Parts: sequence; C-alpha cells; structure tokens
Amino acid sequence: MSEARAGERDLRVLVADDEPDVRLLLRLGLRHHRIEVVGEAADGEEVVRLCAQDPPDAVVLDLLMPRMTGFEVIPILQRDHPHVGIVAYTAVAGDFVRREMARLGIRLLLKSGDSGPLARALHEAAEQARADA
Amino acid sequence: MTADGRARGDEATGAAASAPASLDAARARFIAVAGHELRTPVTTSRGLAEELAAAVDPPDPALLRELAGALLRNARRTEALLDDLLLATDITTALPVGDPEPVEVVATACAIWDAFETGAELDVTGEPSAEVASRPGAVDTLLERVLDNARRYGAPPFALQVERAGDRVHLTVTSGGAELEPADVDLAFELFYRGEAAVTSAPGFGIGLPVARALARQDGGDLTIAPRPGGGLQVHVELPVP
Repeated sequence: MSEARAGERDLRVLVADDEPDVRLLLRLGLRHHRIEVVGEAADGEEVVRLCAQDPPDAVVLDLLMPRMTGFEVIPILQRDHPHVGIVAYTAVAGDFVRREMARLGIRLLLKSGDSGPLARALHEAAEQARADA
Repeated sequence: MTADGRARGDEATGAAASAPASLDAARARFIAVAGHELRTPVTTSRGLAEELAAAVDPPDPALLRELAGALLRNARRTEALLDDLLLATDITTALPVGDPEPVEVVATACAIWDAFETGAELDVTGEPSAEVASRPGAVDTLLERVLDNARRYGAPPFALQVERAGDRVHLTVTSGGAELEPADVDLAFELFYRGEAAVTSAPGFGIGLPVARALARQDGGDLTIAPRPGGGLQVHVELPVP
C-alpha cells in the first residue's frame, strides 16, 4: 500500500459501484492516500442524487451499474457539477469504452487490488476539474 | 476431419459461413464475459487480503470480521463462476448420468426458491403433486437455473404454473420486469451471451438458460422462452411424466 504523494491535498470522494465489496475495498484502500470516501452509490441514479446533495471532489464511477449506467451519469455530472473530477473504474474496457472515455475526457482505470493508481487518478482528476471549472 | 475437409464439407452443405463464424463469436463472447466476471472478484479479493493483513496489527476485530466475510463472499462467487465455466466448456459431458426417476417438481422448485432467500413470493398454481421423469439431479439443476435467472434479472410477480397434459408436464416460470428487447430473447440460448440488463445487474457467464435447455432436452423434454406480456419473461419447460 503506498501513501499519498507530497503536495496532494485531502480529497472527498464518492464511490459508485453496484458491488458492495468493491465499495468496501475502496473505502478502506483509499484512506491510505489522503482520500476520504464521503458517500457510496450502488447505481447511477444514486450518484446523481448524492452529488446534488453534497458534491464531492471526485467520483469513482463504475460504468456498468443498474438503473442508470456510468455512461449516462458522466454527461449529467459534467453539466451540473463541472468541478467534480470523474474517474471511470471498470473490470474490462474494450475499444468502444476506451474511445468513449477519451472523447469525454474521462480518466479510465481497470479495477485492481492496488488502490494506488486509482488514488493518483482521483487526485489528478479533481485537480483538473477544479482548474477547468 | 481436417480443417480443409471440414471447410469443403461445409461449403457443400451451405454451412461454411455460419459454423466458424458462430464459433468465433462464442469464443469472443466467452473471453469478454469471463474477463469481466472474474476480474472483479479476483482483484477485489487481492485488495481485501491486503487490508486484512493490515488490520491484524494492531488488531481490529470488527474490521477483521467484515473483511473475512467479504473475502469469503468473493471466494464463493469465484468458485461459482468457475463451476459455470467448466459446465459451459462442455455441457454434454457435464450432464447428469443415471436412469430417470420420478421427481415432484413443485416441491423441488419451492425448496430451490426458498433457499435463494430473496424475500419475494413465488406464486404456485396448477397441480402441486405433478411428477416428471428425470435423471438424478437434472431437474434440480434445470429448475435452479430457470428460477435463478428469474430472480436475478426479473422482478415480482414471480410465478410457477404446473399442468399435466397427456404424458407431459408443462411448467411455466414467469417473472416481471422491463420489456425485453427482441435481440435478448433471440440470443438467450447463445452461450456466454448476456443482455444489457444482465450485464448491469448481476454477475454471471450467460449460460443459465442454455444449460437448462440442454438438461430438458436430454430428458426428452424442451425449454422455450417468450416475452411476458407487460414486461418480463416466460420460461416454458416441458418434461415427460414417469
């Protein structure tokens, strides 16, 4: 487990995944990287609702979720909460997913047991969203 | 038969284009589904194990229990996926063996449904004591696949209707839910195919209904599906009486 890099500020993050154990792992793993998980969502509709209530610095977004997918959530967050960083976090990503995330300007990571790369992507996405908003 | 021989034979029968293309499509679907479905529990288990190791010193009993439970769930899920994988690799060799014996289908179905512990009711109508002839374990696996498909991807109301007509017993399992896309119905018996609703709602390899149909046919019956009027799915199973 790596620790946070120098210069990174504490982040408030919303974790969105329909798998409870993935959310548990992210809640535990990201705390080693100066990231507090302030909310958890099991589907896309919850992401939109929780972001409206209390926008986090960044969102970890599973792309395949019931009711509303991550693909549907992204344009809503980009429109309503442009200062919220987004990292797409998925088990597998084919050409379509990679192209689509590149087109939308979304960082894409494959699910891993190592929370370090995700933490770095979240810090970068939050920083970029703040700068762009 | 050599590849060349098979190709020539296929050309002669007009099957040249469909068979290899179908095989390639099934292989591609398998790789995509297996990768997607196994990656999440495997990577999650690795991360959970690291957190477990970190929670030992200083010991955090509550966290240790939570992590152990999560690891167990992921191990079981991986095990179930691998069981499905082996079954799907060759359905015919994994089919039950033995002589057909009488099975009370309603009691069997209700026991399977209760074990799911969904909290949802299965409304049973028709002949409660109907029996079918099936090899040991075959009807159990068939019904488990059909009912599991209903509870995973469907929604209440869940129902089982059982009727006897001549030397056949007809079982119809219905579940509510969204209107099905025609493509989902057409492709439901394709190995490793998973519709959009399936991919976004529950883990699996996309083999439940193909396996169930293979079991029904091996027992001299059949399995068909159709959209349920108003949304959801109807699965119709026909099996011989003892």
